[in-house]
Formats: sequence, C-alpha cells, structure tokens
Amino acid sequence: METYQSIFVGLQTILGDPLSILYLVLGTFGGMIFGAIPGLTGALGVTLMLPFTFSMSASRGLAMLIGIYVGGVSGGLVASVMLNIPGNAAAICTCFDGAPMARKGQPYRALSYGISASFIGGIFSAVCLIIMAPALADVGLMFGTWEYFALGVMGMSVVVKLCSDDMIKGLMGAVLGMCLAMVGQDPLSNLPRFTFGNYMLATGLSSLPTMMGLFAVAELLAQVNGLRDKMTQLKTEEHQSVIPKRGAFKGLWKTVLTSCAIGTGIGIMPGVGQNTAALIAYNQARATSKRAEEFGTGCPEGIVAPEAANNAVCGGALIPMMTLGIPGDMITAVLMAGLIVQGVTPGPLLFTHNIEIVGSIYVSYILACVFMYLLYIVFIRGFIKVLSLPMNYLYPVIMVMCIIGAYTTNNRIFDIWVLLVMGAAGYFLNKLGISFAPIVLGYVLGPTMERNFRTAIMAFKGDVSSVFTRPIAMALLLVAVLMLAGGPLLKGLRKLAGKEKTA
Amino acid sequence: MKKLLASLITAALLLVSAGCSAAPGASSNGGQSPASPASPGAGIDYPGGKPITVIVPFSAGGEHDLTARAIGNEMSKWGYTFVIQNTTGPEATALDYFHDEGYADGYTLLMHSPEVMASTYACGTLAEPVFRDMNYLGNFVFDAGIICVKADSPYNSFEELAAAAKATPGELGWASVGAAGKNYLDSAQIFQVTGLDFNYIPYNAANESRAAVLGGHADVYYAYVSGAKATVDSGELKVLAVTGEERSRYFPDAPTLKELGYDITTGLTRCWDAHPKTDPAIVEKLTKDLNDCLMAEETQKVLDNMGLAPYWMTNEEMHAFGDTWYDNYTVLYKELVAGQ
Repeated sequence: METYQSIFVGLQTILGDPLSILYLVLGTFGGMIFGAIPGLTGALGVTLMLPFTFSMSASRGLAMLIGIYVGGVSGGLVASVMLNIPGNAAAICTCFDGAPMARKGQPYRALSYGISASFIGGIFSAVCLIIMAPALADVGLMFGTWEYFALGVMGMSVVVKLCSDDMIKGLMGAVLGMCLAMVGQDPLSNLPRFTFGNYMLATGLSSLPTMMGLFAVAELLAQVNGLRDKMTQLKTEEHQSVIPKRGAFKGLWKTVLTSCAIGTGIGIMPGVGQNTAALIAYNQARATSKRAEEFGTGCPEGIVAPEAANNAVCGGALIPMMTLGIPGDMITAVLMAGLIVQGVTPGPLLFTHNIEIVGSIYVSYILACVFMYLLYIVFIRGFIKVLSLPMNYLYPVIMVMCIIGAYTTNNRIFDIWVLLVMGAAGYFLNKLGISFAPIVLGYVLGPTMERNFRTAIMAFKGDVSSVFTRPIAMALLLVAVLMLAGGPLLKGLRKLAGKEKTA
Repeated sequence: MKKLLASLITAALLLVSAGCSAAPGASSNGGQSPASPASPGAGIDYPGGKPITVIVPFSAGGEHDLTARAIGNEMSKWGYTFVIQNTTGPEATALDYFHDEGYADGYTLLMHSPEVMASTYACGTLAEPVFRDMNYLGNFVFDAGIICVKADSPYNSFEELAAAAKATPGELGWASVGAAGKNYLDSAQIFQVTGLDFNYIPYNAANESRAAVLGGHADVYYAYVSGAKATVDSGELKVLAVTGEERSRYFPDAPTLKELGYDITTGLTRCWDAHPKTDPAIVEKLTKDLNDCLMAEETQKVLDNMGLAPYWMTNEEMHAFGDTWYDNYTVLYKELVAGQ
C-alpha cells in the first residue's frame, strides 16, 4: 500500500514539475558524457554537481544526481566498444567482447546489446528496489565479516575461469593486483606498507588513476604503436541503429536476468561495486554458456552480462542507503550527503516521514533509465562520430582527460604519476601476455578479503574454525571451490564414465 | 568536417579542464606568496569572490563531510563560496601534505581535529606534531561518543550491559572504527575506567560497524551521537550511555558515563584550519565569519537536524584541547603497549 502511495506521490512530484524532468534529462546526458570519456566518471560528475543541488528543491536535486548516476555508469560502454578503452571502471568487461564485435564491423550491434542490457539491468534493479527494498536490506545485514571474506574468495576464484588459457599468468596478475592494493596504510593497524618512507604513498594507489592507467593509458600506448599503419577505420555497413533487431535477445534472457540478479545483489553489499559485479556476471555467463569458447571474440552474451550487472548495481546500492542510511557505493554516499544537507535523513524513517522523497527517488531512477535509453537512440551517431575521429586528434584528448581525472581524485600531482607509471607498466604487462582482468580482481577484492578476514579473526577471538558456523559464508566458499575444481572434476567423472562404457 | 570536429573537441576539452580547475580549487599553485599584509586589519579583499577549497580527508557522505558541506552551504550568506574536496586516505597524511605544500594563501583549508591527530601522534603514525602549528578557525560542533545496542538486545541499561560483560569477560563484541588511533584509545580507556573487558572489533567506517551491530555480528556500537541519531530515532538501536560532559540534547534520557560513576568523557571536535603561514588578517576574518555563521539560528537548525550540537571553541582552546588529549593518549598508549 505504502509502495503504491509513494510511487503515486513521486509521479506527482516529478511529472508535475517540468524543471525536475529537465534536470533529470540534463543529468542523464551529462552523466553519459562523463561516463563515456575515459578518466572522467559519474562519481566525479555527481560530486561536482552536488553543491548546485543545495539551492534546488530536494526532488529536483535528486532527479539531477540520479540522472548523472545512471548515465555515468552506462556511459562507459561506448568507449569500451568503439575504442577498446573503458570509459569507466564499470565498463572494463564490456571491452572483452564489445570491442571485438565492433572490430568485426558490427559496432552498432555491439552497442545495441550493451545499451539494451544496461536498460534492462536498471529497470530490473528498480523493480527490486521498489518491491523488496526492506527485505533485501535485511539480507544485506546478514553479511558479516566472514561472509564478505567468502564473497571476496568467490570473486577471486573467477580468475581461474577468466584465465583458463594461461593459468600461471592469470594467477600472477591476481597476486600483482593484490600487491598494488596493499600499498598504503594497513587497514587495521594503520602501519604503512610498501610506502618506502614516502607519505604520498600512504594514501595508497587510488583506484581511478590505477585503473585508468592500466586500461586507458596502456591501451593508448599499445594503439599508438600502430599509428603509422594504415588507418583501420571501423566498417559500419550494417543497419545504423542501436535499437536491437527483433529476436536479437533470443537465447540471451537467462544470461541477462542472472546478471541483473548478480548486479542487484552486489549493489546491496556496501563497498563491493560495479566493476566486481560486472566481472562476476561476465564470468558467470561464460561458465554457463554453451559457447564458452566464443567469449572474447565478440559474443553477445559477453556484452550483455557485464552491462546488465553494472547498471543493476545502481538500484541495489540505493536499497541500503534508503532503508538503513548505509550507502552501497561511493555515488550513493554523495547522494546521501545531498539528502542530509536538504534536511532529509535516509534510514527507515524516510519511508514514513518523507514519502515524497522515496517516491521521487523511485520515479527519477526509472525515468533516468528510460531517458538514458532514448538519449542513446538519438545521440549514438554523434557519439560514434566523435569516437571515430583519427587517432592523432582523439588520443591526445583522451590522455588529457585521464590526467585531469587522476588529478581530481585527490587534487595531487602525485596521482598523475600513479596514472602514468601504471600506464607504462600496463603496456609491458600486456606485451608479456598478462591480462588485466585478474589484476583488477586482485586489486578490488584483495583488500576486501584481507580486511574482513583479519576483522573476523578478531571478532571471533582468533578462532579460524568459526567460519564453519556461518552458513552463508560456507555456501559462498563452496561455490568458490566448485568453480576452482568443478571443471577438472567433471572431466574426470566423464572419463571414468566413458571408461566404464568401453570396458 | 574532421577539422571542425577536432576543434570542437579541443574547445570542449578546454571548457572541461577550466571547469575542473575552477571547481577543485585555485589551489594547484600552492607556492603562491600569501596575500600581502600591507594593510593589516583594514578591509582585506578576502575572499574577493574566489572559491575556497576545503580538503576533507574523509569520504563523501560521512559525518565530517556532511558537517563541512552544511557549514560551507550556510557560509554563502557571508559571501563565501566553499568547495569541498574529499580525499581518500588517512587524515595524518592529508595533514602532512597540507603542511608541506604550503597552502598559505587562505584559499585552501583543511578539516581535521587536533585530538585525533594527537592520538595518531601518540601511536606513532604521525611523524611530527604539525597539528600544533595549525591555525584552528574555531570549532563547529562537539560530537560526544555514544554507546548503543540493537533494539532487541537483552540489555536495557549500561548497568545491565556491564553486568553481562563482567559475567563473560572479553566475549561481547564492541564495534568501532579503526584498530589504532582515537576510537581504539578512547574505547581502551573506557574499558580501563569501567573495569570491563569487551572484545574490540575494528571496522573500516562507522557505516560498517553500524551494519555489523544491526546484523547481530557485534553487540555494542560505539560511535558518535551524529552517526547514531537516525538509527536510534527509527527505533533500531537503543542508547545505553553517552560519553560527553553532559547529557546529549538529542537523547535526554541516556545517562553520561560520569553520572554512572565512571570518570571519563570522550567526543570529537570538527573544525577547519588554515596553514600556519596564512596572513593573520585572513585568519581573523575567517574565524569571525565562521563564528557568526555558527551562531546564526538557521545554521544551528541545520546542524541540529544532523544530530550535531554546535560548540564553539577558539584557536587557543583547540590547541589546549589537543595537548591535553596528547598527554592523556601518550600515557594510555604506553600502558597498553606494556600490557601486551
């Protein structure tokens, strides 16, 4: 009952106010641009725009920020597909199959999969948010330190699947990623690690410069290598529209919906984030696909899985923010700040005291997803034109954007050095055949695992076996074990079965 | 066509970079000479319409950030534009960096609390006591510590919790933030003074420790009043005690530890400070305007809504506060290390 009432009030507030809609559209469009430009992210867009929302009414401010959020997360896919450079960390996995499909002369098809999946992911998580928010928030609370540790282990086991071609290099990458994340202050005792006495390093290697260095700068360097070769303009002979053709999603629904569920679930967990969700969804799609060998060569499933998941994270991340006052990711933290400055405190009371705010969030979020889809349909040609400029115009611009983005993370020149060094390192790692996906996983999940493991040990007074008393953690660890050993085990069983038959 | 597009992109790039450099602050040039003190006191042109960056070494959305944003927003009525710049990483690093960069022109400020820096200095994480040199531009709020349990917990008063802790020493989980530094030392002191033994569990942020208590992964939520207010108001946490000098105006029924017979107070100041080399006229003007802003009814209302009790302190009082806590923490830390 309350739900319908809130939606009704929300529709009234947003639709009854043309300015709210205008802000929402502008926010979504701005977010898409920020997301599409490597180096600039939706998080930066939200932080930059936050002060401007203070003078607006709460619903207008929210509409704008939510627009940037949704646009920013989905915007990354355009650069991933067209340039093989992720526009943001959430779109890293979209490069794996999006770029090869575009290289095969089907950029519009790749984009249509990505955009539609983003849209579906957004709407799916919106439905979860509206219908099940309180219940899902309780599920989130069931996760304690052991559960987060187990989630991290499960995420790490993805490496094995992702790097099945060259396991040793995959594991090397994962360890390297964890080492990169260890630089800085120890999460528990605050002692500096790997800082070599330089206090600039005590902050650690910030995520934006590290990720953008590895993915954007390294890729730029690699592509610049071929600058003197004959220009390989992407051929776009196909139908130039991003509206998927009828039947394009045939056989993909299972992947899309699983990825949506993974994304929403991960969104509810504070601090795990879009890139992990996308990686896990990608891996899940690959593990369950009948054509796993096509992954990495431009397979539609490889595009829809990460894009559905990373957009589903947004709706998921709004759940704990609204119901508990605990933000699910960095952008929802900023959204929360915006609400509090407006005099609205997120938390359970939001649903009784500020039903119009709840409604505005629901309606803005759904409308932002719809506008994002429409804006893509209208402006995609413009996006593509810009991104198919000759490299000698485009690459310097991207490089400058990455540098600006790195600088804005902490307002320090030092972060630009991190970007450049990671870029150079990434170039050589690439040449050595070490892929970046395991590095990202190690970098993102390593600290989650370490911190939660150590806190769990402290909470259970040094008793490691206490993990066996946590059913959710055990289930997650079991999944990890199955992921690791499942393949060889099945093979072994089949061999046995085969032998029995022949015998 | 290509040229046109290229020049358009260049124009857009220039715009964006101009926007970025204007927003996070005219601070890139930290070495600029401070505003010339030619006419001390008499009508300095500050801020002169230029935005002032406040470095907040905490994540966006946290209590420090919210305090800074609320004050920055209200200060627009005094003709200021503040840009809040969140940085990641430890406060101590931000302080060292701020100090070394020489942000002395008054257009870049830092948010930190002297007693927090005193705790990190006492633990040896901060190398030099630079916090003693800073110009504190007054203090906005004093956020007292708070001891909460989950609403359906069997303990309805601090005495009941204490009895349970006595019966099972070291078994009840005490969720707080950080394994070294202020919260750890404050908690240790509470354990010492009350003679109780809890299992201290450090989390990464107040959000996480709160989620842990709500989810039943820890028993006691030790945090600050502002961080607990919304969850207590909604009836999911109950307050057993506050650790301020007086009862909190938001929870008039909760006793202070002092009333319960334990001689200890803890809490957190929140303030901005200017580089030691800043022109005294600027420091004076900023301090005065911030004081006026804090005393204004509307600002107090905004802070009140967030569970933050306005509490002004002068630069001298802040320094004295930091020094008192440094002495206190040094003794405590030595005892803790000796005890291990």
